[in-house]
Amino acid sequence: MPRRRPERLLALALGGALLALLVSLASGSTAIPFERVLHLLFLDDGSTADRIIDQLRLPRSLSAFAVGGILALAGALMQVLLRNPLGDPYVLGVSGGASSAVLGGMLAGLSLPWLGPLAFAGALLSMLVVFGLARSQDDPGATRLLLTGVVMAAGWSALISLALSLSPPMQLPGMLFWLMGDLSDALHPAPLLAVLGLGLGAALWLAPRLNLAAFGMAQASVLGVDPRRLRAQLYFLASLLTAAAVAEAGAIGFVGLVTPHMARLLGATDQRVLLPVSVLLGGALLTLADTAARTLIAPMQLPVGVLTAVLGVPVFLWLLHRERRL
Amino acid sequence: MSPLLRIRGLDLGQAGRDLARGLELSIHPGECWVILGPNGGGKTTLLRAMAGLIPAAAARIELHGTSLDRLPARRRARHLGLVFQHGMPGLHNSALELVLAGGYAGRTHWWDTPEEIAAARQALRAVGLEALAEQDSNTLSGGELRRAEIARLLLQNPDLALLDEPFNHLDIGQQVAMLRLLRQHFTRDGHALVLVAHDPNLARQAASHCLLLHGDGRWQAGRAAETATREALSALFGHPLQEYQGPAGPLWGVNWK
Repeated sequence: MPRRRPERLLALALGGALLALLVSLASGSTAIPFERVLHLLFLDDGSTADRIIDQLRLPRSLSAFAVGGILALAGALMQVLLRNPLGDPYVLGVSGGASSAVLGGMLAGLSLPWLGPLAFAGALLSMLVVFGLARSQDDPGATRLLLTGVVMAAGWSALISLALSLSPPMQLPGMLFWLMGDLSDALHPAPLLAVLGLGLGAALWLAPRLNLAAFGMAQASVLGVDPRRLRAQLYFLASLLTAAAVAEAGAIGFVGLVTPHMARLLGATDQRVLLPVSVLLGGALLTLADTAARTLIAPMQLPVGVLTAVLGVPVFLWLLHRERRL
Repeated sequence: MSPLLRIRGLDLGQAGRDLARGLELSIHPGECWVILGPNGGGKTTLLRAMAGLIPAAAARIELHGTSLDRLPARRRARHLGLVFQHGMPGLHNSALELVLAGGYAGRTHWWDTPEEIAAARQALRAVGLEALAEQDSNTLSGGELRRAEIARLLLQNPDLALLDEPFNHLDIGQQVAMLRLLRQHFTRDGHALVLVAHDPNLARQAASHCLLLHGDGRWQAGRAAETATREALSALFGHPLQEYQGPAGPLWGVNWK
């Protein structure tokens, strides 16, 4: 695999992210040329195109970028924790835990401020079960881990079906769309971008220790890392990130799985480079996927989670095939 | 001289089995210890305990006079290093990155400094792997990985170096080279070396001290010349050792027929 200098890799990923945002701002029912998009971003002229960009496309594109970046970061952290490239919040049932908790809260009539903490509690519970069981060996085999994750995901899915069957028919379409992963209501990107920024900061602070974790937790401990503390920090951070993404956009799968892998293919191996590159690529990926979701069969919109799953499942199967340890 | 590492009355067990009862051990700077014993006799378990990886044993072991259970991992790593019997090559890192990990405990910067990278290359050169620095460590052979791990230990530069069967993937030439390198680095200037091994001749020729672990709770520790005698080792392994005359003194071996 090619090893590039970190600065060049980051510049490459940043360029990709900006390009994806530009494409997303230009595409839609009214196509707006690139140079006009750039012009309107910095100068308001009160035209219709200006309002489309400022009030509709920019908030949504930034939300998609933030959710994509958050999911990519959560996936990258889980892959380190497991020393396994199959880590992903959706595949391992962590998103399912957050979704179930949020749906249960909605059914119980809880108001919006409660749904975030509920999502976090559901995600953390899933993390503890899946990772706790997989942890009994220092180097968990992919089979054991995936089985635990799949069983957890199936359990959550049953609870979700239960919640849906009990919910009022009027609410059903909205709930279903949210469950499949949907960004059409995501018009307030600021909190998500804040979560992404803080999460990336925390992850970069942990990154030197994450590099050591690649040699197994016992070896990392001998080299100076407190394994219990590092695990707790990773559980907390990955759950928080997953919960933030799920609470905003439902369960969007495979971004967390595919993106760190793309970053590695580009040559990022050191976690101090891999994590920011993953965030940028994940953001770009979901921004493009969401653009496709709202333009492919316009004026109707697809839930973006369906698109990422359609693209992600083959990639997952390919990764699984490559994993010799299975 | 105060001991580097001290074990007081440690009862070591594994899965309900007594491995060592009331173990007392003091390791001083300049010493080279070889731990010998039958398979499953607790050599690896003891080494892990000495590295602070077995919480139940940590209170009985002191490093520089501080009990291991009160020593944070990062401070411990400045004084104590361990090369595992089955090391992991990492996920996608190069051999150089594997070696650089040894510098973590002493690192003050978030990013590696040019001096650190130069020191890591120097360590790779010391084990004869400088040509493989940029290679993915997952493609190293067993012996190359072991040597890269020894290079990482050199970069970590702990006072006390523990190695679990460090020679079991190495050809004879590399065994001698690595032993010389380890002794040169870790038996002077306040360092000490502990090796788990299977070769009784190693105990006789390279060790200053020896610990025999019988695996049933019995143990003997002391100067190599007094502890690793032919009678004691024959009893330890349950097989009589023969003495042969070699050019550099007598050697022990077994009759394979």
